[in-house]
Amino acid sequence: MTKDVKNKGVKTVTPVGNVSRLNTDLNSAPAKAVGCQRASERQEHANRDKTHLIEELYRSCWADLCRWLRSRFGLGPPEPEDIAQSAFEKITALDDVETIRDPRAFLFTIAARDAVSGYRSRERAIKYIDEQLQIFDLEVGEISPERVYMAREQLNAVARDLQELKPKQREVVLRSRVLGQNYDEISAETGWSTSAISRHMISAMTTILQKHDLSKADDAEKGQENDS
Amino acid sequence: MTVDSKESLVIPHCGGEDVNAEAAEWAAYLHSGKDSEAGRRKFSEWLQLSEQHTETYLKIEQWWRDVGYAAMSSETLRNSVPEQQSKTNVSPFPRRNTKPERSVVRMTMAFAAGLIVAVGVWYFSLYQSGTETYYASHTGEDLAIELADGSTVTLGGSSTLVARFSRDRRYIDLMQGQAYFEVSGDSERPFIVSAHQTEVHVLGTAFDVLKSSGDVRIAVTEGKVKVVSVPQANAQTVAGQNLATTLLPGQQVFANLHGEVSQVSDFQAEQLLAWKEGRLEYVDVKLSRVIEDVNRYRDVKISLMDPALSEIRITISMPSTETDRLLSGLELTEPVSIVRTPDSIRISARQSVEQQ
Repeated sequence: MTKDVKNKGVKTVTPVGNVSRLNTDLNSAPAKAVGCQRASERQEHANRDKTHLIEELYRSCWADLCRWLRSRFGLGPPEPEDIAQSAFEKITALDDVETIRDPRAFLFTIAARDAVSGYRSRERAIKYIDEQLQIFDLEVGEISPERVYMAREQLNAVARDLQELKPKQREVVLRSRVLGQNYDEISAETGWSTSAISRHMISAMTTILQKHDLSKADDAEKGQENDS
Repeated sequence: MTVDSKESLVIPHCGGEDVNAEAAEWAAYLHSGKDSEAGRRKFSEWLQLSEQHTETYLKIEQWWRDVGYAAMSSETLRNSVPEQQSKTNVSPFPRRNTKPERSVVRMTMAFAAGLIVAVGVWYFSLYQSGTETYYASHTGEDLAIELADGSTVTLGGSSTLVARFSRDRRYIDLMQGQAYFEVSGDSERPFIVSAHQTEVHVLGTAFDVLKSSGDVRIAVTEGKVKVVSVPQANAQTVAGQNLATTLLPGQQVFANLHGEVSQVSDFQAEQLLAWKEGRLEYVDVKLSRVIEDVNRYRDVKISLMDPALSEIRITISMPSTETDRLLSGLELTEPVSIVRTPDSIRISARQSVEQQ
């Protein structure tokens, strides 16, 4: 195949004459030219889909996203519009935008993450925990289009978990994780004591871990039933 | 180490029976913003107690991180994220009330004009770190870009490239279309342009790269470049088989999809670079090539329905905004029939010449 192309193509190049300078073909087989045409059409379709998807997302989400950011993170700096724009740019830069299952959720996630980037205590904690787990060759999965796709069941389960938590537990979890607040900041906003906040967080997380164990035990039991 | 808050939380206890409860205590402690150096030392000891300890901790840490996405995955959950009283108050600086509108306008314009974006992100990999910037031009529009190193690029219509700049090299991936490069010299960081299986290595020069569906054309106008084929990962290549080809000003080569490079030929700069001045010029070029090129400047694409037609040789010069001239020219001089619909233009051979 490789040789074939070489013979057909490269050797026909004739570097002579003024007019025939552009007369250079690598693929003179007609059938091949049509195949290429189709491939380039496919590429165009993909690009059009991507542009379309981003435009659609922009139309349907821009105002909501800015409003949501403003009410959670204030007027900045960075301004909500700048955070939103940078989130759009990040999504546009992804190769596989079309594969994102829920572009709206992904967009809000990127924007919310950017809004709290630079919160010192939060970033320091994450860095420290990652380092500790690395000693055991363990890694925490960060959100990406692939992960959203591969771990969709797990992520759906987390959303359910959140809904099932008690209101105060949920509030503490969301303030800490999404708003990037430390316990002192949560305390200032809610009036709860830091030890109460800590209790809510611990009970939320213990519940989650127990639920996880239970569902695993269920699976094991089902497995045994199937075996016998 | 300094702790942001006034006082630290009580350090969780270790070594009990209930690993779930302890993992939860540690996660809550570490994300409190009220931890201490002593607490961290204890945590590190606790993690080492058993595999169950590390695994349980990973489980809850992963859950906590996933909350970042899960909380955004439904409107109900998004709305349940508390609003921050201290931050929703009207800003004391009235200036900011006018600024957001400007941003909205900027954004709207960017999208109205199509996908003309320059997006910069940091990237880190095992091998190197640097900046990655993505550029795309809209159909029918050229885009002038100045890269971070001072080099300039003119992107042709419907063209995209990614610039990956790191400490030791400047790497450009021409994903589609055409680009003219004027590279600023930097002997420490080679400038490399990659298209299909071919790389162009430069140290400071000006040249044009046209990536078509079937090949890549590289034409040099100033300085010197080296064209190197990059073997596909699965292809078996004999070492030294594809030697680098050096190009001087006025010279061009074509490289096919396998990275095989043609003999060096001359080109005429005025024709080849006419696109930069808003004209498309072809002298004796295959119709299929002309159409692929012209389509980058058209919203309604032209397709060739008959393979034999792709061999027709075309000589034409037209403004890139008036590519319909190609069609009227073809109708006049070639045995073709052209069907125009609102979203496509199809060229097929006229009945009388169907004796191929």
